[in-house]
Amino acid sequence: MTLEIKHQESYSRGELLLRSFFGLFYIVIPHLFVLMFVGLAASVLGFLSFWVILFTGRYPQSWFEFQVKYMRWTVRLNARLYNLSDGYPAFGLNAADEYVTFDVAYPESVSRGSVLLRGLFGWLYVLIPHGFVLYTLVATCLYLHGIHV
Amino acid sequence: MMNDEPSYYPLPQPDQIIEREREDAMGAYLMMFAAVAVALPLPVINLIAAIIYFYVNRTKSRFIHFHSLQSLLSQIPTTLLNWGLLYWTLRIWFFDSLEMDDYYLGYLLTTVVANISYLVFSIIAAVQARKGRMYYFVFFGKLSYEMVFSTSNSITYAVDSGIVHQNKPPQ
Repeated sequence: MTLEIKHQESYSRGELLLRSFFGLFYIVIPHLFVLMFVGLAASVLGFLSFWVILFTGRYPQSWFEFQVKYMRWTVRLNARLYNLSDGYPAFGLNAADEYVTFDVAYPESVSRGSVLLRGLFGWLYVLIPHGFVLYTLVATCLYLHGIHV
Repeated sequence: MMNDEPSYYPLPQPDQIIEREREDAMGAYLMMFAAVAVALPLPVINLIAAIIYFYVNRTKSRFIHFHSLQSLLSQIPTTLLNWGLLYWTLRIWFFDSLEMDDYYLGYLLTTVVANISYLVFSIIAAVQARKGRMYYFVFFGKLSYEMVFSTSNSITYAVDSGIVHQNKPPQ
């Protein structure tokens, strides 16, 4: 998996202020409105892909690409919301971004055992530990305020 | 004397259909589980999912178009039956003090049998689609074949124009 967010030489202070005060209206609401529907499709495909992998051992390639594009869109949006990149995040599943790169290589075969394990116990051994660490990290960053990781 | 017999495009054979096409065709039949995926027992969700899947995927290839159309068309009667059952059940639940007459029980049984039949045949069709085979439902199979493979169908498919999949550099 490749995730790269380019660190800019300089960031626009004007855009920073605009995002901070009005970002909710001109970035968050439009994007989340559209992402709500795309996310619904992604969750349906995610649920169905669990069963397809269980029976066939393969993740349908077009569904996989859709999920990656959806995640790419959310990363693009989050990069702006966390002030990691300037500019307005592009709409669309096929949009390109000059600052954000996200890609996941398509697996030719997927382990049915691991899919089953994640499906049944993922909340226990993946979600809880990662959620706890992420929460601690975010809380620490907010507390220290201004640290650019 | 003019020949009014419709002509049809040749059927693609399993060895001519790539894995991706087969998976996309299989996916059309899995949209019947969309309501389960979103955890809402509303019959219309399956139909909406099937409609969206059809319109997104129909121009990829004739094979995918056929299967997604067949899935969509065959879902309509089941959806209508389910809506009727939902309405009747809610009416009994809220207004008729849970009194179920024989008509309701007959309709309930018919709907259950229809849903089970649809489920069984859709799974069979999904398996066949993944093997690259054509599988025809009663009535809807022939209708879908006529609509997709008839030479009057003017849709240009990505696979015919050589754009099944384009390798692109990472974004």
